[in-house]
Amino acid sequence: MIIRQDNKMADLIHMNYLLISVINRFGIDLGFRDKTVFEVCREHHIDVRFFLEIVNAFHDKDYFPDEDLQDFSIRLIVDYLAKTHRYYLDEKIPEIEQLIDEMVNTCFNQTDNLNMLQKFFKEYKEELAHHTKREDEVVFPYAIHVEKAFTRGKADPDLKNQMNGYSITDYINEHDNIEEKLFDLKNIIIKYLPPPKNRALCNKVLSELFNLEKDMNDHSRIEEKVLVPKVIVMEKQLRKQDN
Amino acid sequence: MPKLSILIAEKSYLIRKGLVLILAEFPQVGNIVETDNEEAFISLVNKNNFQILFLNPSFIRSGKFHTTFEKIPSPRAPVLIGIISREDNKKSQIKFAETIGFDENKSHLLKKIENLILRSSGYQPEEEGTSELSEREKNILRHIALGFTNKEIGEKLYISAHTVITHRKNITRKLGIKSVSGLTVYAILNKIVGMDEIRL
Repeated sequence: MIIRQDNKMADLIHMNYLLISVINRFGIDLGFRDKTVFEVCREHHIDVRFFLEIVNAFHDKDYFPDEDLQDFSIRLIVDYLAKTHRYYLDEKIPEIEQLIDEMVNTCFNQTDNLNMLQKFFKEYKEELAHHTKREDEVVFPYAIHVEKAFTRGKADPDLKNQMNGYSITDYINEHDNIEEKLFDLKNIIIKYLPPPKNRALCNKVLSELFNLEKDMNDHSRIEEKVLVPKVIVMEKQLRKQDN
Repeated sequence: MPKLSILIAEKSYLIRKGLVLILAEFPQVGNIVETDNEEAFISLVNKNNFQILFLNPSFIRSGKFHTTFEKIPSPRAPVLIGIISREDNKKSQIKFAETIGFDENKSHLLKKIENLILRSSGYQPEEEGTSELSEREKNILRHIALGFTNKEIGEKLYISAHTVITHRKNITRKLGIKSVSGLTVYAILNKIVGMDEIRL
């Protein structure tokens, strides 16, 4: 289904509850009564076309944006993506970390194994922090820089230099390995870890890992399908002017 | 075993979605690409290496189909599956390895697709159950966990770094674990290496 502005906000969540985290990132809370997407966005001063673009790309992995819907600014996209990074690092990861800590503190039958799991997750957290930092500090500012030059109609020497050594397509290529550890962690718990005493807790960790992975895949898709194509078009245009 | 890459060339959204849903349930299936127009289809086939191609022949209007496929060297050519009824297949100019019709019942259709996927993914029944690591692989895993590089492992075990890489690929495939730290955790859980021997 394609989500449209006259759909009820509550229906969106019924259809796909994982969208809760997406609307939260827009600063929208639950309790929308019978308001439509359009009404809720207006209340929160959110560009409704941009909102629709994001929820659709998140909800349907085959969603391809119509070109005329894509005229919102790169800054909007980048702000949203950066917020998503914060959501992972400040909310989701600590939540899972806490669950794992709890597991360590309550399961005495295999303290060593669980300590190891805990360390593994810490490592993953550091890797993720490193990865998002690079995007926040290098990739996103670059994208905004490109857009500014594009609107001005001319690349300054600084950007020209940058564009010589770097293109947004390099960024797509950098994009894979971050999910590796998450994938491993799931498999270790599902296949190899002797069952911990506290089964409910272990299941909870596992389902949180699945949710996180899904959310991250959808997040990457927004980067690759919404952000990257826009920047590529602008880069091309700017390079053309150079010649 | 690398995952299968599949292309679905069909105008009907309904049929594409249905096929994707069915195919995505097989663990052997990796990338599924859909296309609903001929131009994109030709460029996709030229640029990618699909193992299976589901094609509705009514999709091809320009007669470019055969010229497109002549360019692909035979070992790389995908298995062609027609999205077409048995009757229409007799009239079809394209030679399909198999066809799936709109009117086939569930179990028949699923069986066909399952066989197709097992054949294309090089599945061999006797290999089932060999997800246990061999002694050689365990030894290599032990060295990975201890933090040695491929080159160092090769030198220690008198094999080439290339062979080490092949073993590593097999280990990852068998265990479903990709990262070095993940492999280390596995090695410790299975007492292939002692926790006191390494620092994680």
